[in-house]
Amino acid sequence: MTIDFRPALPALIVALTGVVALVIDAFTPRAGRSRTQSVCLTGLAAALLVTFSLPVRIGCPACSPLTGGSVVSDTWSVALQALVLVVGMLALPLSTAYFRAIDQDRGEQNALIMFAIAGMLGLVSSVELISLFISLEIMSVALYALTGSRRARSDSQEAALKYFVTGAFSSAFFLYGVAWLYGVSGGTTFDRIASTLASPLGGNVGCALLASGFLLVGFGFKIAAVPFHSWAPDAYQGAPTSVTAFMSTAVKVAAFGALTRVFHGALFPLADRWIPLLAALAVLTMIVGNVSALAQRDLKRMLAYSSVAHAGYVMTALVSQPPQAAAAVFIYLVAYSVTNLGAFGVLAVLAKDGKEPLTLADISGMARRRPFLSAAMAVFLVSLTGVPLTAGFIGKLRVFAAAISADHAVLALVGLLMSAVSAYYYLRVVVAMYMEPPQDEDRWANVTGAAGLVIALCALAVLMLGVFPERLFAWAQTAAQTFR
Amino acid sequence: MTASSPLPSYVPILVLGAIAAGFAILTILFSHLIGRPRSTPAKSATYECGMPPVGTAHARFPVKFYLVCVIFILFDVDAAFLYPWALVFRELGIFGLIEMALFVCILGGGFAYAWKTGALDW
Amino acid sequence: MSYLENNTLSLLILLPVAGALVVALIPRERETLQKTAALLFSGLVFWFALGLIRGFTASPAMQFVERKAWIPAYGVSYHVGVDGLSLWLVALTALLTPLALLASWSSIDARIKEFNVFMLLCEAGLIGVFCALDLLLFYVFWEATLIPMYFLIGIWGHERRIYAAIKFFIFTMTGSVLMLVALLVLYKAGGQSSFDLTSLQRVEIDPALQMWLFAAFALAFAVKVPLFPLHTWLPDAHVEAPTAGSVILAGVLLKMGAYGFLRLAIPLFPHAAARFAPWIGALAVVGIIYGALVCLVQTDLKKLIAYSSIAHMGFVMLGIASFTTIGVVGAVYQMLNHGIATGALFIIAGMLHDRRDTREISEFGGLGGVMPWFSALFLLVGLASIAVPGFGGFVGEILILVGSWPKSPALTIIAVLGIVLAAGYMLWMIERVLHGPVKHASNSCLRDLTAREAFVLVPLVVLTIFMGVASPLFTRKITPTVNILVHKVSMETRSPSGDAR
Repeated sequence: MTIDFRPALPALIVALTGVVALVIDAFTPRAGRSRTQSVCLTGLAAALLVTFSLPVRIGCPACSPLTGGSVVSDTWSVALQALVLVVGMLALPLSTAYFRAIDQDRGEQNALIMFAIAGMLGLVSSVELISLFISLEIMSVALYALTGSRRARSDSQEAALKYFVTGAFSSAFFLYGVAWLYGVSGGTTFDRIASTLASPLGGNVGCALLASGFLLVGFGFKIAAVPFHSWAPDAYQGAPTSVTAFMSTAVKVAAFGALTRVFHGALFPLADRWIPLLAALAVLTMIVGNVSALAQRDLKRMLAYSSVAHAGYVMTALVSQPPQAAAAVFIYLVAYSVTNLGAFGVLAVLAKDGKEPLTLADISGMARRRPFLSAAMAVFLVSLTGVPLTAGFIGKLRVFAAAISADHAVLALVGLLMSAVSAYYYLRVVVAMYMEPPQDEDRWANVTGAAGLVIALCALAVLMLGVFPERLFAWAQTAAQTFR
Repeated sequence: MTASSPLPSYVPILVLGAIAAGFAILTILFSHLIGRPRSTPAKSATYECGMPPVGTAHARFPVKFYLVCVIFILFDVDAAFLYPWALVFRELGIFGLIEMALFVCILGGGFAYAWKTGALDW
Repeated sequence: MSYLENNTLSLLILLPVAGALVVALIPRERETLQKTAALLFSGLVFWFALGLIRGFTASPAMQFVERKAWIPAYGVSYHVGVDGLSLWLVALTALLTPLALLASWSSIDARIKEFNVFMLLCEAGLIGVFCALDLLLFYVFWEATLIPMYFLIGIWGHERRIYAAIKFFIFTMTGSVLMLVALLVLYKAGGQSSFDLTSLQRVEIDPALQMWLFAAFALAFAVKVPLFPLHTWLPDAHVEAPTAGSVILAGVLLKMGAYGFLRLAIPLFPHAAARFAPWIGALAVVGIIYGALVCLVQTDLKKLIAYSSIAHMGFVMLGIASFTTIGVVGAVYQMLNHGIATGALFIIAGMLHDRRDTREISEFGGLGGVMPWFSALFLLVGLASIAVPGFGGFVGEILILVGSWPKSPALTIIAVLGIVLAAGYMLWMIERVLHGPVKHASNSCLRDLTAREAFVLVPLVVLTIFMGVASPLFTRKITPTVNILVHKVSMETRSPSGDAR
């Protein structure tokens, strides 16, 4: 056996840390507070270290590792694994703070987050359909449980059920696509698929397109692209807010990482056929996401629809040539992750005594009582809108520049007009915080400790990436070397 | 269709599926068209192997069954996985041992968790 | 000192930012200190702006140029410089900000710290817009002015402030995203190597594409100017904003649009600009007449001033659309005059609002006897605004009309009608406020100008008179740049390749 198992190490480390956390949690008294956060953070840090110390491959996004096996360590996988791990490290303290505030502080959440991360790490490094599917399921199953982890509340249960049913449905689509691709190419590795699709296909073109369509549907559910987004608002609203913060960012990172590799790697020979489909989905996603967000009264629901819209922005990048598309996708994912994690994080850390801010009225006048937290939230919202000097602008710039370079100026036009629309609902939150009088009494938590640090780090990152994006561009350049 | 593709050989299965579905649809359709629906209490009663049904169909039973079931399936799969592993153990060598140890460790962790959190207490 | 001279523009942009940081660090209770610090920093900016004017030589070249790589991977650089078009606008910004701060010294009484921070950030963004020579940098500064102004309107504005703030934001944002799309398309047409204005100007663009790109840029700028059908955000924003916000909005922010035409839209797409010019001119004249007519029926002081801005900015656009040296110089000069006169008018409206807490014209009357000094200055500012000879506005409007006459006599004649209407609404408003008997008892004991208020208003009045009699001092530095610009457009329209392509 000469298989090189090192590319799987990060995922293994994270999964084992999850198991350890679970066992530690089982052997601590129920009443006590969970001590697993530091264990999990250490595990993630170790995985991050290992990720960067592995030998890295350049070029050939679809190639199997020379030493056999179905996961690789190339620049794309390293970049996205690092992003997932960092998002995880930022999300853990938020999660602990939130579950303490709702008095349900147990280690399971941390362990489940670790399992989900393990799945994501596999997702972005798989070059084979079966391991891709298994990673997808490891991630999803952990997330279903996380979504329903606020057991006392029916909306959390409802969210978990909806997420589970639609998720299982999408998995079926995905698996069906896998089966068709296997049927066409006689293999499940990406290089086999790519070489089959590159050769004359004859009548099998239809089958291959069908397979691509099914895979797109499967991924579409995971990234919450319209018309496969209907679970997202309910799941994001019902899930514990810290979980929403984690799943609206890390899942998108992992799913887009895999989507980029599958479509720009394995299915690239068919690019001319799926690009129009992807472009249409992107337009639909941007319009429906933004317009639906306009009508929301619930903050989490509004941010959920905004996440849908942002998936559309990322999709516009995928219509361009592989290296540029990958770089733009990576930049957008980084920008979006720190921003959205921060935005949901602010809502999460305000939770106190089992209650949390849900509507605009709940946060009105917040700027007077919590100037720093409000300023951070304003930064996040401005970044989501895509105003210059924030990370969100840099992301949008790269994504739409990529679309324009591929002569899809209409996509960029729709996307940017929709960002102008989005300004309306993002600004309403700013209006509530800064321009409306505060409530009678202060019902929300004072933010301190690690969770406060996470929010501060996110806000700082949003501004730093917006003002000095050069470093980020260089990272993206490196990450995209896989797609040369 | 090119010969290199294994797909065309599955066409008969598709045909078989179509015939099976067609048969099912046809029988239901015909019984509706030919027969006259006549409802009697005996017909609409729950099917219980000829015995009169006891209680309602929506009986509640303890969720513990479910938990035990899930845990059982986990270890069942574990056992099922061990057999083929044992068969090729010699060929896998030390690598196989480590791999299986890892697998059992993960399951063991889950078992410890389930035990400690009271999933096995009845 | 040479370091300062080499980096004057960076200093002008960064000083307000530094000031904002300093103000943000001052404890919340020390309100006077916050105000003083903000005033000090903006005063310092003005001092350096004076140095800028002194060091500027009357030539078409870009001066005080600084260039540093910002995002080299993307061809974005921090490239700033001033020429005849931007020099005076930078100076105008630097002048109006401290005066606006001083004007609202006591009228802003809540969250003073944030107010000063946002005012300084707005100043930094505005100066940045006028200096930027890199298109992406321009866009960044363009949007950067949006956020502070949004907060200024939304937090310290009047009753319908939130509506006005959001409307202002959405209108401008929609315009600017169109600009961003055009920017990216232009970047692609230029070979995806640079966002630099000078290198993009050399790009040969297909005339059909040029029309689209010009239209996108023009829409963004026309919203800001505002050109006639896109003006609806302006009355809301100007009326609801606090005094300082209105001064900056009317005085400087509107000029960003006209400046955008001159700096970007026209030099980048001269062919399309020449084709669109008659339409822009026509819309400008519609704006002049429409603004003046709406002014005639206003009962709200600030609203009247706001609509008069639409009319005045119409003159600016008419001058730009003429593409004659005289007309464009007039347009640039008129921007300065409008900034000063309208800024002063908004300050005056703010003073009345401070005293009586109302903006209704009918609430006043007979103030001439109660507040003689105030009334004298009010009259002078009003006359300056309607371009009476002897004030700067007269020079600007005459230049515009002279420049526009050879291109389109009809539009010019209608525009002259606008001047007559302007005299009508302005004098009538002044009459209703200052003359006649004191109708309301509460008006009978209003305090005349305080020393602080006089210190704000007198320099503006003196300046507008000075600009009326010594206009060559200003136009001398504007003309060389405008010559180049006009030459470029006329080459494009006359050369056979221009139309045949």
